[in-house]
Amino acid sequence: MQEEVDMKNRLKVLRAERNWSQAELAGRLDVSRQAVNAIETGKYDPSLPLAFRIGRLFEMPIEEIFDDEHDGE
Amino acid sequence: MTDLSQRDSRGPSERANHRLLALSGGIGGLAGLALATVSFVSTPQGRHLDHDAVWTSPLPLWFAILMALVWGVVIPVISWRWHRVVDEHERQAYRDGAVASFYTVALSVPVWWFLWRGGALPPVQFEWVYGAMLIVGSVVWLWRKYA
Repeated sequence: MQEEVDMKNRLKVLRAERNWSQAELAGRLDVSRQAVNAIETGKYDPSLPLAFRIGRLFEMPIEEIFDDEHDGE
Repeated sequence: MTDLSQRDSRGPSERANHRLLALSGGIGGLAGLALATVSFVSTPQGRHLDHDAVWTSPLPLWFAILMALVWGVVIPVISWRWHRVVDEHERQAYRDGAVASFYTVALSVPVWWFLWRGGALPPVQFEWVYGAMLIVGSVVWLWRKYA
């Protein structure tokens, strides 16, 4: 049986470090402000292409932004 | 590259999304106004125009064809374009709304149909089912997008 994965992310922190509003980040990613808010609050997990766009924007690998809390075992 | 130097920080997809929604809303509003006006003008003198007449009174053929073209050609083209530009979060919200709409029709019609056959309700009226489908789909879509 497939387990529901609780995905965490650092998007809000990374955005705050750059003094970007949700709307500004949304504009840079070409998504809606509601999409950024939903990702930040964990209500929506982005697709792989959007996760890569986020990684490229912050110049970080995806796994440094998103964490599925898997312990690696 | 997205130009964020202007005051409007929305990306091109979001701007196109809002433009197309505004266009759909404008066309829907004009069509509704035209429908009410034509229904009123087409009602024979002396006959009272009740709220049912807007939905059920005969229409001039030219107007019926015009409305059919708007709903059968113009709205599908706008919808197709909208689905191409909308971001993945809104696409997901819209799909949730579409699933809720599907179940609204798939469940309410047989429930109503059984109750009609049992003599408890009048025959299924598609205007009510269609309205419920649109309302449920829109509420779920907006809830999934904004809540």
